[in-house]
Amino acid sequence: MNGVALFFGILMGGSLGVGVAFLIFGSLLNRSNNHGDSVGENSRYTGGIAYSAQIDKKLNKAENQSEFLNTYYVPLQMDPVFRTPAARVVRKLPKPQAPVAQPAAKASPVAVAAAATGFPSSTAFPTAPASQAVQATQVATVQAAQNYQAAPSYPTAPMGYQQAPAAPNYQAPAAPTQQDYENYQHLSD
Amino acid sequence: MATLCKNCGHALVFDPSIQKVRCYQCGSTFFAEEVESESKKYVQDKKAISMAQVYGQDVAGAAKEYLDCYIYTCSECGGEVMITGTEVSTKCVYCGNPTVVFSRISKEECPEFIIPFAITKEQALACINKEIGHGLFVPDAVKHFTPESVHGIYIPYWIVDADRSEAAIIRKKTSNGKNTTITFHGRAGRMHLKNLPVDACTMLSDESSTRLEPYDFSKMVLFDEDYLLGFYSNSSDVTYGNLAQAVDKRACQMFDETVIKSVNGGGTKTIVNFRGSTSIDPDVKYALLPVWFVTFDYEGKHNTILVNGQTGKVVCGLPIRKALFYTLLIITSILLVILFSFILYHLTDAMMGSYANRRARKTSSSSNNSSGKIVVGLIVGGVLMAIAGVKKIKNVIAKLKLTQSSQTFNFTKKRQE
Repeated sequence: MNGVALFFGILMGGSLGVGVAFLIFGSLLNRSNNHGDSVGENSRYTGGIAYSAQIDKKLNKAENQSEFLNTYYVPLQMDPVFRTPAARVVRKLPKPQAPVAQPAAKASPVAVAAAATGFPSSTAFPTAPASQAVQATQVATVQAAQNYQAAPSYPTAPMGYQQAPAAPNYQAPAAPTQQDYENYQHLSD
Repeated sequence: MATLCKNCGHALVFDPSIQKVRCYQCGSTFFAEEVESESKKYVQDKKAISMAQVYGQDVAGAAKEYLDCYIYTCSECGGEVMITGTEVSTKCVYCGNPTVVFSRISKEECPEFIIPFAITKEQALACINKEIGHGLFVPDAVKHFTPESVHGIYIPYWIVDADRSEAAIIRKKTSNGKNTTITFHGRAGRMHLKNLPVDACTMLSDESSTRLEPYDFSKMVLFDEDYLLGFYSNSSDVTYGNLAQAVDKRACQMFDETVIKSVNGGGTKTIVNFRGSTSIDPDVKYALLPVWFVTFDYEGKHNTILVNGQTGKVVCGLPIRKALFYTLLIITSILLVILFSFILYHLTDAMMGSYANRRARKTSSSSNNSSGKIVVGLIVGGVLMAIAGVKKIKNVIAKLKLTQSSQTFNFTKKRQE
């Protein structure tokens, strides 16, 4: 009898025999005594991942990994699906053109409407483009008021998010005079 | 308060088999939505009084745990119905009639949806018997157990839509003989989750509630209090912070599983670094989902088997016939060791003989290397299989502990029969 062969035979056989026995009986026990172990499959709740990057090379160095995370995570983080739209819109608004030196009587119709609603002009008209604001006519004022009405009703404000207060009863200000219009045009130039 | 039959005045109970509320006195059946009950309009909250008020301040100090208990009056018999914690519906301890505390539904946030029980108590027990009846290592006493209590309980859940954005670095380790290769893979993307159920009851462990899934949300209906008749129910007691944390954890887990699968090839894959966040759709739905809780005692320990009240899925870890299991395991191990040793001894012997012949002829020694690889491979393979088997055994023991947890038992047991 070959002693070396016997030693290796027992070593391999022992390892394999015990391993197979544990695997078989572990599986049998799991099947016999554990029920309902499966949780809801991922496919029930998601259609999968929409990848923005899949890189399989050049990531061995720590700095490359860190660069990858920063490069690809930040854009995702900047534009989450369920962020408060109101906050986003307000943040994206350009700073209002400062009509600093203007007396109250010569305030733009936009500012008049904002004052009437009790809101700062940046939040009163979140969706009004700049070109629209330039048309300082009565029509524009009413349109701005409509925009204001729409603002507080964002449907996706998260729980706990402090929503804008309900729209007060909006009373359209008096139509701007020709003098107001000329002053505003002068400002916008 | 019990909702009474308009024909005979007896209490109505929701019957899962016909999906209607039934009067067991006169046999009348009604759709839950049709039942016009004064109880629904009745503001009973004003009548709810605390234990301290009922039994005086003297006992209040000694029974601080009862501070959250409230006492209502049964509309059927006038008996005192005690409601604890977040319970919404229960049964009168004296007359056994179903009681829904409508004021609680209005006081707490009212559920928007409900999946009514589709499995009756008898069907739930039949599902359990079918599932555990053939277990090889299940004790006979457990196979033919007598349930100590069977409670149908509506568990509050939040149904959430969420969005997971993540960038992750995955490390893949592949071994080829002596060579080990480690590669890194980057994945970034967004995963949208729809109708993800999150257990909104802190008294029930998340693991238990997760294992009860899946539920068929297409069968979800608008909430009506009369679906609760004859069943117990709880209201949500989790905060938005808890909810966000639970959703984030689950979304992260699901994202990571999917991302790991996206890396091609075998080997051990782990996520070594990631940056991610989960945003939750604020339009969260609040729903009650049905679960049967069946408790029984075995060797002085309380066991609670859960059954999905819609699909009949049984969730439990059962006690083990340890003597039988370990005896069979040891005997099988010994037999397999002898068998494999015998086979492998002869194979090794033959290979060594062959190697010696070739060496005598001074041929290439490449076969020596391959023999070494086979030996190492078999040993490593055996060890890995043993580890996998032990993991499975540990998993069963962990699930058994969950079934025997006092938390789950107390959740179902501390209710009025």
